Amino acid sequence: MNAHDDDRLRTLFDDAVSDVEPRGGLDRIQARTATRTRRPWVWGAGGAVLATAATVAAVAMLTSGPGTTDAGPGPAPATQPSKPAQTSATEPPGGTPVTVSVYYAGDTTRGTRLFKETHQVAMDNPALAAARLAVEGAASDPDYRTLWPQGTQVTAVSFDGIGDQGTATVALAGEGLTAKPAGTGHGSLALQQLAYTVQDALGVRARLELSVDGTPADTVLGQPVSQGVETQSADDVQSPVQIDSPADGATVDRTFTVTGRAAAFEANVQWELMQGDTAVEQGFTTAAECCTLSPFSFEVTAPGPGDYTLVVHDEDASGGEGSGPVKDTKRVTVR
Amino acid sequence: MTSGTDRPVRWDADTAVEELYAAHYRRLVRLSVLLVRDVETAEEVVQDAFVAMHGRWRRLREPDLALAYLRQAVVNRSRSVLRHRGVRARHADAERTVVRDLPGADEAALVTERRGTLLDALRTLPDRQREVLALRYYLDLSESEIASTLGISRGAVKSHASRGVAALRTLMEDDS
Repeated sequence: MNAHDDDRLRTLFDDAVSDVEPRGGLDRIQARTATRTRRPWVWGAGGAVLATAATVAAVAMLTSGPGTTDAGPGPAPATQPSKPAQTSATEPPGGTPVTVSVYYAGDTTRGTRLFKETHQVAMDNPALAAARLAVEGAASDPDYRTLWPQGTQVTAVSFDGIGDQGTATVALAGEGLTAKPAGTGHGSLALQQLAYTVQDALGVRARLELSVDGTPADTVLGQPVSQGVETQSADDVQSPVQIDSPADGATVDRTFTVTGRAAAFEANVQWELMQGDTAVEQGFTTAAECCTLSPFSFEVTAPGPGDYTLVVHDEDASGGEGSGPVKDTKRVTVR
Repeated sequence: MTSGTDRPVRWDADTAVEELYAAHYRRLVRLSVLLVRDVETAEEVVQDAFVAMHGRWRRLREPDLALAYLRQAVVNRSRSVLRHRGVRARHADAERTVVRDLPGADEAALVTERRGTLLDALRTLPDRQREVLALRYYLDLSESEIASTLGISRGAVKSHASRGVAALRTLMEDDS
């Protein structure tokens, strides 16, 4: 290849798309990143009897407010839980953040599955903020995405009842929320994405009730929801291999700890630290239990500072017959 | 980490979306068209990438980092869309969109054919080769920028590029 070839190719590539004029999408992007709720939630008097630790956070989250998903400084929350959840070492301008788990979809050799990702949100309304992050697809890991139609908004999240027997109500707004999503067919998994996210943020395994544009919904994304939405078994809907920490893009020490969950044959979990296409370190560990999602943890020592990709995967027990191992990857920078 | 950068831009997430949209939206859509061919799909991919960038702005904070994140998200989402959606079924729409602004019909047909040839040829390449070629010849990225966008080594970028160029040359010569 020479410089002439390069120039010719540049022209060819430029030319091939030179008349593509996007119709424009700023409005659509902004509709999806809007942080203002349409209808502020009003907390019912019945909530006052709630007594468990989890519901303390629930009360705090019911004050719906702006500024929960962006970096802008939000107003100080009117009510604060007496016991803040885990907080980060750094304090963004929005006040003390809380850590929430947000579930996204990703592709695995066993089809589309959910992956959990940790996010920090302002304390005033963590369940609403977490639900929004999930539905809007604001994943840190570029391999993850949302299964909800673009433009879907979460306008309120509320909780009523006690613990697992309670009901979480999620108010949605947007177009095309009733019909089964075209093309993807992941309506059921989209509901699981939301259900897992809201339940984790509330700290209870409560049933979800959904409303669309202010009316209780019978069907959402082609799925019947009039009886509420329950989470399905994690082994059925979540990826059998997930790295919980470090996060994608994290900067880590030369020796760092990896934690995650796996549902693996004989609980065997393998890992490689990749630099480009080369595995510079590798090893294996076992998850706490076999064949069901259970935690694992191991230490990695990188050869030196630089950018790496950590790959964690299960063994391909089928001996090459199957679709291959399930993996999760995170890019890390070793300082 | 929130104040770790020497020169933090004063943008909030909403401003970042507006500024980066104005400067890069069209180019990113065109990049995605090179990868997925269909304009409508490309727009969805790029819009998704902007929404994701908005959610991550607190950690990006720098336009350069945000743009790198957008590029990466566009490439990854384009790849994912290709694998998991019936993009091929929508090619008829893509052709229509591509020709709509051209002047004379005869001239348009010729130009469309030539452009279609490159897009068709790209579609037959393995994902990585197509991605490396698009980043190199459309976005003019350096080898190391391509390596970090795709999460592969510079050596791999080189080899994908040379194989891709060789394959393209054969395909384009066969078709013309």
